Amino acid sequence: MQTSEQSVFSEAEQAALAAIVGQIIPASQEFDVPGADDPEILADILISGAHLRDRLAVALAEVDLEARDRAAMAAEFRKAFAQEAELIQILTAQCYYRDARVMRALKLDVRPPFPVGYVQEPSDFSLLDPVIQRGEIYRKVP
Amino acid sequence: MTQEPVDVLIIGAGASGAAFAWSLADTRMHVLCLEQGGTPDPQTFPTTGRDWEARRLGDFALSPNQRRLPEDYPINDDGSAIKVANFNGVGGGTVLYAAHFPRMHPSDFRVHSLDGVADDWPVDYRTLEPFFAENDRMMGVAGLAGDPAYPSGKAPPMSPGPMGRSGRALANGFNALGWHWWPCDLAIATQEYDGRAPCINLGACISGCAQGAKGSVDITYWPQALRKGVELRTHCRVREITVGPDGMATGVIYFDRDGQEQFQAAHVVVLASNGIGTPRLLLNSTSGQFPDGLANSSGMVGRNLMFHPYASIQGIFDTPMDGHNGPHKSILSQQFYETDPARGFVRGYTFETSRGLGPVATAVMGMEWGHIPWGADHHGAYRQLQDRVTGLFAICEDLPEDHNCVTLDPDLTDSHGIPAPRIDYTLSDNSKKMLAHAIARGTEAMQAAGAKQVVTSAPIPLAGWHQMGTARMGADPARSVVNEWGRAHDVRNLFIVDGSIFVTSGGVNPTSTLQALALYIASQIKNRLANLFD
Ligand SMILES: Cc1cc2nc3c(=O)[nH]c(=O)nc-3n(C[C@H](O)[C@H](O)[C@H](O)COP(=O)(O)OP(=O)(O)OC[C@H]3O[C@@H](n4cnc5c(N)ncnc54)[C@H](O)[C@@H]3O)c2cc1C
Repeated sequence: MQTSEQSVFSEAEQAALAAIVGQIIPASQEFDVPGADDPEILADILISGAHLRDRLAVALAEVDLEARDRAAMAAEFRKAFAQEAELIQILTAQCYYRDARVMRALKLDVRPPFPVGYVQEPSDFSLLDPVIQRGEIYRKVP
Repeated sequence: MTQEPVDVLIIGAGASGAAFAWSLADTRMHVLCLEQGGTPDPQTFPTTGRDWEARRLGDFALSPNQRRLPEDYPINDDGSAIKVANFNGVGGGTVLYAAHFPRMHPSDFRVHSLDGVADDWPVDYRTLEPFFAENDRMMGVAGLAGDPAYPSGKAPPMSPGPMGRSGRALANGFNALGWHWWPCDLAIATQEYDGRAPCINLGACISGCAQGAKGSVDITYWPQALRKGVELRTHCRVREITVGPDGMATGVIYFDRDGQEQFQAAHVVVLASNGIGTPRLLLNSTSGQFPDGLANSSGMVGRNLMFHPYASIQGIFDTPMDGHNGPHKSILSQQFYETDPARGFVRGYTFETSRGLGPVATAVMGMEWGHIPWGADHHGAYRQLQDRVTGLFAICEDLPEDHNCVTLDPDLTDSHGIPAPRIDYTLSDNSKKMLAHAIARGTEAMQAAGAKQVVTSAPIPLAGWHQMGTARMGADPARSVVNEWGRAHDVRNLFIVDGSIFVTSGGVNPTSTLQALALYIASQIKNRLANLFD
């Protein structure tokens, strides 16, 4: 895992990003899941979002880390920096929903799709009976 | 450096180039294909890692402008309502395609005679039928015979892929409305087939198939073409086609994998670079004889660009659907395929199902739609959507219009300094009406299938994955670029075999038809070898 000192995001930007992603997806006892500001998930966000740093820097500089009402702060940020907020939202979802703890809580197998794959129910082609009964529908050409 | 001349030089190793090369190899001529990208390695495809969904926005992004890999060329699509999606490498677009493999209908080849719009094709369904069948066998198509939306005789070599819960729900919806539907023809193996393993429902066909079940041409046509003696040179980007004083093509100038400029002489040059890459190359091939670009005396090179505007109709159910489990496509409906003047537009569209969303896409789409909030309620709302979304896409027939075009951007170039394409494209009124109709009917179908909420949008911006019409075929040299069998009207040893030669677009995914056409042109060349240049 990359240490925070190695990140392309400055310390202040890391703190701002943590504040925002923690508001997008906070930890939940009810659902037994960490928040997106969990250290492991945040480290993933910092690495995976490195290429976005320059596009986010100005917006992150405006995050009020002293705000007492963090939810209101995040809502304000989303309004003021819609494009940057969307980038952060996508980045957060990408890293959060591949975290093993989150996947387990969602009853997802903690693995990539390949090589095991998934199983599908058998198809019921008797559903086609009415379509077949109605007959040809293609347009004849002379 | 000059290299020994080859008999036939193909530019592009995608869907059409592969089929054409495989067929022409029967002649035992020296067939060489130059491809700007490399050969994809399925072991590195996204579904081999837990970050598979994220890579869709990175090295497996659909847009070359987003991917920006060395083999990609930039496309200025700022002036287009629909943005290009492609793959540049052996396999071309088929590496990323969803492998939905419907044929165009007989009526699609006769739109002028039937509906008084655009032009009739100089070939017809019956002529292409044996090539459709040969191509289905080579690509390994799974489907069900007997679809009443087609003439009899279409018999896919494998049984269909899974309908799944989402396909079943939509089939019930279509049945409730009394509409046509049928299992999709998919170029996806449902059993061991010609060395390919069967599909295991990875659910990420458009990020490349790590299982090798999907019939992309790097694993269907290419291995066989290479065994038959075709030569394939990768990481070779063609800059221009050269011509001699007699107006015949003499070969191409290209950049090899080390960035060195090379000249390759050829007796016949074949363009298979797709509906954007082909006009780009022709427009870049100017000379004293062809000041406006090669084979462009008609002015039609780059014009009449067609994409297929797409409508998206997403249903949210309160019972589990498939999520991303399964091939993207399961069933289609062609209830609104053929023209009905009462609808207020000509021609029509296909509904194809789009299976469902992976865990990340569920969150992203849910937040985008406003269904999943930021904050403490995120988790509960997420669980309301998890595996509960399934979609319909409407693929609308696009008609050729002169002003929808590919030109050369005055400033933008690729990494070799070759001028890049620029696209100008607007939706016609006919397309807008068709999209509106598809949204309304698709919403009905979703509700009949049991969806509690329906989210719609049109056109889908990043859905320029079908690129057609920019060097169209026709009998009249004043109104078309190639003749009835793919030979350029202006240059008798230059052929075009990719989607650029489509006269109209039909309302189905084009690859089955464009490969059948490439096989047809190869067969015409084989039959005419003695007097090919007459
Ligand atoms: C995400 C996605 C989903 C799709 N889904 C479907 C589907 O379900 N069904 C369907 O029918 N179609 C689908 N398609 C479209 C399908 O991929 C195309 O119709 C098909 O690949 C077009 O074939 P082609 O031979 O015209 O061009 P391509 O397959 O695009 O091949 C062109 C090749 O030429 C090469 N090239 C271009 N310029 C040069 C140059 N100057 N020098 C050297 N090489 C060059 C390119 O690198 C490329 O490999 C999809 C496409 C995408 C991107």
